[in-house]
Amino acid sequence: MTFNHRLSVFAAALALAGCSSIQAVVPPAPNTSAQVVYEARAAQVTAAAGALAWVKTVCPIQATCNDPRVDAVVDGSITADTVISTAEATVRSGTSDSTALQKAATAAQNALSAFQAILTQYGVKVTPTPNGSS
Amino acid sequence: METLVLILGVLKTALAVADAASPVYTFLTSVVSRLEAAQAENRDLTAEDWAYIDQLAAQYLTQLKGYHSVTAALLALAPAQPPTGT
Repeated sequence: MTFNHRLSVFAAALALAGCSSIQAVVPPAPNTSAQVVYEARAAQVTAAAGALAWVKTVCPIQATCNDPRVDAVVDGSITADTVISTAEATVRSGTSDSTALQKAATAAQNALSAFQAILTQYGVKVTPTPNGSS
Repeated sequence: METLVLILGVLKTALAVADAASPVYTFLTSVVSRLEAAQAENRDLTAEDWAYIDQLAAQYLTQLKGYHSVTAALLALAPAQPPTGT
């Protein structure tokens, strides 16, 4: 992806967001596999926060929770965490194997996409409100 | 590179809808500043950068696991169990 392409994607996202106040915290484009994995981890954490807020509304009483939708979301979170943790281990291992690094970055991205798809399927908001409820 | 755009989009969307007073906004702002610092200084992310994000990931995962039904939790464990018999 060229710099200009990234810039146009950036601009489009900002225009869609319609909020100039977030410009200062828009993430930079990753330069390395480690940064790609780090961003995937950040998105995973954000998604997990939204998932937790949703789960709390579905299962107000945690001990008696027995909902297949919740199980699917929790399983998806576990899978994403496992894959991204493995990718993180690779990019932090100090290896210079570019193929291994690229595979790790791609795996992290795919794991996040799969988790996002599960959340979308159940209508889970990605971002919780300040008090943790959805 | 479509998936990369997707991830950036996820973060941007989260930032766009997050309340500036929310923990998620604070978290994302911190993540972005750490990435920006690494890029600006042309260095890898530090162990502290990773520890910050890993701690939060583990925290949310632990809480989510608490909502697993007993049946689903057992099924999730099944593949990890060693095979029985000879």
